[in-house]
Amino acid sequence: MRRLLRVMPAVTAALILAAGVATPAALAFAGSARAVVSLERSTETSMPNMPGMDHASSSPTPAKPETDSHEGRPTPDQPGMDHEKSPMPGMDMPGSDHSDGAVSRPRGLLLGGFGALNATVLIAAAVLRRRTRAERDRRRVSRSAHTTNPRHRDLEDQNR
Amino acid sequence: MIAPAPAPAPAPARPDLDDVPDVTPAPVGRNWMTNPVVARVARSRLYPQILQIPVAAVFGLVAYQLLVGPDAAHDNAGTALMWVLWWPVIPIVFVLLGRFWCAVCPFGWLSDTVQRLVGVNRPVPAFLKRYGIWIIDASFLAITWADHVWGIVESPWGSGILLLILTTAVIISGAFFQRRTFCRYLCFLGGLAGNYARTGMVELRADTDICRTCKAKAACFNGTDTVAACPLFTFPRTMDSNANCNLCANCIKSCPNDAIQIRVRKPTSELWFIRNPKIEESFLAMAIMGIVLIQNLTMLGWWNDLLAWIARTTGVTSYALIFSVAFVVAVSLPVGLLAGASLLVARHNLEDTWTNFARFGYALIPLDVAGHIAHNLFHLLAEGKAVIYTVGGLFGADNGGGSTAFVGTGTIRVLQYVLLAAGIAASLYTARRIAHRRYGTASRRTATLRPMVAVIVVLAALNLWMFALPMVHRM
Repeated sequence: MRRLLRVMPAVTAALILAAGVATPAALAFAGSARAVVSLERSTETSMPNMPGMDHASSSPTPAKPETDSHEGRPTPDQPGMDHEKSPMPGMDMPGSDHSDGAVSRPRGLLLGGFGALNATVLIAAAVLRRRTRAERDRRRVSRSAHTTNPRHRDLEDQNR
Repeated sequence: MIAPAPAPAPAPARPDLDDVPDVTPAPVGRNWMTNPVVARVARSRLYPQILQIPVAAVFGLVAYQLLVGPDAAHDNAGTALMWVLWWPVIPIVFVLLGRFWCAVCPFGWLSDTVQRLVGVNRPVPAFLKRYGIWIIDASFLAITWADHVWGIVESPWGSGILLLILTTAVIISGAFFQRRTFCRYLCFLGGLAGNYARTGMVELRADTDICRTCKAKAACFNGTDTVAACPLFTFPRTMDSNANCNLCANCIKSCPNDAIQIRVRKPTSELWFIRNPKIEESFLAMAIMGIVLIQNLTMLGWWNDLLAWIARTTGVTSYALIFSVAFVVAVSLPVGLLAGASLLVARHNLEDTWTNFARFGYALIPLDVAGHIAHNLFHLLAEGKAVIYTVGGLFGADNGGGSTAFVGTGTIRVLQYVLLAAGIAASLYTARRIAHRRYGTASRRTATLRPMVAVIVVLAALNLWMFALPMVHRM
């Protein structure tokens, strides 16, 4: 185990260096070369709607049509590459109503409700704390009065 | 007459050596409190408050951006900070520093503040003490399910609502209950942190020899006039796990005998010495494995082909329905595999199925951690620059058309495989250590270990296969 721990950083560094220098094809041991190319494409062409992230012109376009890693079908329409979550007609995908245009959100209602709920909680806790503390103080006072009152003390002595 | 020779006395039954498990404590590592810098930081009144302030400020920015910022996730700095930076980095922090994040978490600070102002300080309800981790298990699964069905990560608005719900829960907990009840018994991230922190290399423990002579009435647990009590209800003297220690150093400050130590230890070593394995913690480890599987599955290009195929062949177009089925299958798979292996093992060793389940679930935690970090590495390294672009965008900076990736996909893939290899090795080694600690007889060790190793190998192969397939971005 100790030897493994000693060797691990060196192996990791060597692999990273190899990955940085070598082409993705050289890393095909980690999966099919096709998969690596496809993953690379997904990384390089992501987030086209972010400012400055449109790689349409700079992304390496494969000379021949890319094929899917399992079935050999073309993948230019690989879902997710263009941030459209639902490429399938009729599929009710989450977030499929997201658009770059302004969407009206019930912000006032949400934040108002949040504020009101938490204000109620805080007020309720404050009242409860005050009541609990007052009760505790009252009990303490009555206990000390009980023990300092000579009549009570006499009664206690008799009980003993 | 010769008296008959007495019959040889029956040999006394040899006690089974495995009836009593080995409970020797874990070896003690080097104490960092002997380092004056570490000791000064830990004892400083500024620690950890000084770190809470910038974290709370960033949290405020994230919440503001999520709720009133751009609607598109890829333009929203809150989404980038939360899901591209914080979420991928947080499991790495758990592994390196245990639950240190919980010491600087803005929710913890909020809970403390509410408590100071209006806190009633009621004791923790008994049902929370009893079922807290199950609630954490359920809430973790529910949040993951909700994320996929309602698109929380992809939607700043959804993420914002999630933050508000968590904030409300923290305020309620802080207002009515003692210390950090929410963090200890209800926070889903706390549950995850608790499990992952066991693999960490840093531990806070008390020197029990000194504690035996202590007359300070558990100041480390109850606090003093100037130092708060342990926020996670942990008594350092009996603590043998990182799961409920956030390294806030309150106990270090309040201990009059300097008995608290911060030690280094071998990664994952805590898992080799679990004395009281809990089924809910093992279940959480299995559930996390299932979550990693489903997260990977839904990021594969292949997933959308599957959805299209299901829609074509069955006419079912409800993503929620299809995902729910896939989710149940993915989470049930690791749980079912471990339960099956435990059932098999129970026939050959001395414990029942559920005890075996509880004991060996911990062996899967290193693979959990590795799979989780490997998955998040894709977000962090392939989408990481989105954080710089979106935050820079808030200040009017133009990113000049750069890629969102920090490193090439080849590097990411190699790192993912290195992590997975380390996780697999650590899981196998942990299973071996657990079996060897529990059983002294070779036959029981082998019979116990074989099915457990098979489970680890199956889950490892599944992870390796998924990481070999092309993934798509979620943002």
